[in-house]
Amino acid sequence: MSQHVTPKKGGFSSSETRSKIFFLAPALFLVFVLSIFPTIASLFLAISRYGPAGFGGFVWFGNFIDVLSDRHIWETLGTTLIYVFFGVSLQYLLGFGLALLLTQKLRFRRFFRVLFLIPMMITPVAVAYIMRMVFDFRIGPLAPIMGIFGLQDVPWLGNGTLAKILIILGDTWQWTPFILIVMLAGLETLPHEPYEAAVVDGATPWELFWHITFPMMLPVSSTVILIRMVEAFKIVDMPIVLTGGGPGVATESTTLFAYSTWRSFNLGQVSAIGYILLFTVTLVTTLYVNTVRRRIAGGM
Amino acid sequence: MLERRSPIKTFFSYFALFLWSMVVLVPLLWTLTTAFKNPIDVYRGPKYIPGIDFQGTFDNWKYFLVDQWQFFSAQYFNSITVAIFSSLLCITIGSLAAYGLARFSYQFGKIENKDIAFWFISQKILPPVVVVIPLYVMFQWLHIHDTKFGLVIAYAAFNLPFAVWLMRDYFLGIPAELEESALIDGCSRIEAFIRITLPLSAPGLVATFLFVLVFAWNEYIVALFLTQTLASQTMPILVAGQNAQRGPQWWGISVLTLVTIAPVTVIAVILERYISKGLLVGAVKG
Repeated sequence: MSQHVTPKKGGFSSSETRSKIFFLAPALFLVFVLSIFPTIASLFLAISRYGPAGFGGFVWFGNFIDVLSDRHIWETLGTTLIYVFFGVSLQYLLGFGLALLLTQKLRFRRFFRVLFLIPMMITPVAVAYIMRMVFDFRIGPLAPIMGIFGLQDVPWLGNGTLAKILIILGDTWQWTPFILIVMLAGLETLPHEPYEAAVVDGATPWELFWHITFPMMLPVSSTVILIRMVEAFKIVDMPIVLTGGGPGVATESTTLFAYSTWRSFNLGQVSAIGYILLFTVTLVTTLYVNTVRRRIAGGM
Repeated sequence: MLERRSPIKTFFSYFALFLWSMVVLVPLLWTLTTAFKNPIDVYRGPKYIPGIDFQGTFDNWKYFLVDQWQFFSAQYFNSITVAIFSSLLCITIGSLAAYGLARFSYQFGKIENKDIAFWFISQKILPPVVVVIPLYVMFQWLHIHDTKFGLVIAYAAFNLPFAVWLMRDYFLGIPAELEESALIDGCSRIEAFIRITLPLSAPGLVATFLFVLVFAWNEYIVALFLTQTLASQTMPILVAGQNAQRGPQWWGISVLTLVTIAPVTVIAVILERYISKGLLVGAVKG
């Protein structure tokens, strides 16, 4: 009996090892070939002179120095940070608010949930055009209302601040649903007991929210903000179509800057810009994780 | 949530929901009506209802669906092909990895399952511009630049972290005992996975597939780098390219926008069902 069991057990575990590799290997392979290898190759490009003629020797920090000594990169990084900060804040406030509304037992709840999800499903390129149409206060749908306030000729695309606001509004229209669905999922798993106890103690709705809902939702909040933040740093579709980066470079995000550099075929500089963006995202998210998220986890 | 609601509060809630519904609907309805307008009605100030304040026309639709059919259909077909095949590839490879991470324990030195899962999801931090230039060079070298195949594998790889993250969580929610009894009955791991775990995970698989499908369908910047001609260009490229020299042709843009968002709107209705059944709950907490 024991003679019979031992080899079988050995065979079992070696086939386990094989299937362990079988399950994980394709994904690792795909990510290595199409993500890790290109990331390393990008670093190689970033320290080389690489133009239409191909590889032209190493310049080491040359590309980084060229890019960083120009104001352009700093302006685009600033603009990107503005999009990230104001866009994600606005989306969080609206998304959380709407999620709170949708947890109530109201009629047509499913209709609202489906409708509110839709903007997130639309290609950002189309969202950009839709926003341009809607915010045209001369021929857009809001023209009669805006006419009353004398706002027909708001120069959305002619003024740097207004153009940034337009892009943030477009991004918010698109991504508020994401925060909404995640917060809704979080709200629906909250325990009932703390509320029951607080209601007995005579807590007002505002106190219920501020002392119970909000603190209990902090972990989900910090996660959803992190995800949106990382994605918002990559913003490019919206500015490319809405403003083309203009007026001047007022709305140009770093990715858009990289794209326009690519069109002049300076691959070394594009990669350097990409790495500068990667460094910025990593820095900001690390700061965020180490300050905000750690404090939340510690306070729990 | 538990407190009794006053009529005023209920009214306020409905009013707020109505307001946001308008925020979502007005732009969409405006696009819908603009698609049926003559250029003159677009530029003559706001016209709202066809047949009442402007005369509707199918010319814009005819332009893309008949006159420009050759170009339009090529790009629409590219989008469908790329989205479906990249998503299939992505969830196949992604759920294999997710299953591995949910059921086995891996150990490479100090690296464990948790670290591998985190490593996957941390790929999302990479801005596409970092990866896309080498991919462009690599794809040209492999002669898959400007092909649907190139775009399929690129999208599958970029969406993989998301698929692994969501599916791993789903598999963790399925009791392992079911597979273990099948293993004792002589099934191999792969058989147990295909015959027992996969059917039980159908909702998670469908939802993940649909999410990834939408991401691939909407993707723009990577396609901008990796495609060049009608052989592989997708709908977002066509839509974005409407910023013509003569100024944007709003009526045509509206038609293209509508045909691009129609399929994903249907998907939104299906996905909402999965989301409200708690698909995201574990994934967000984990």
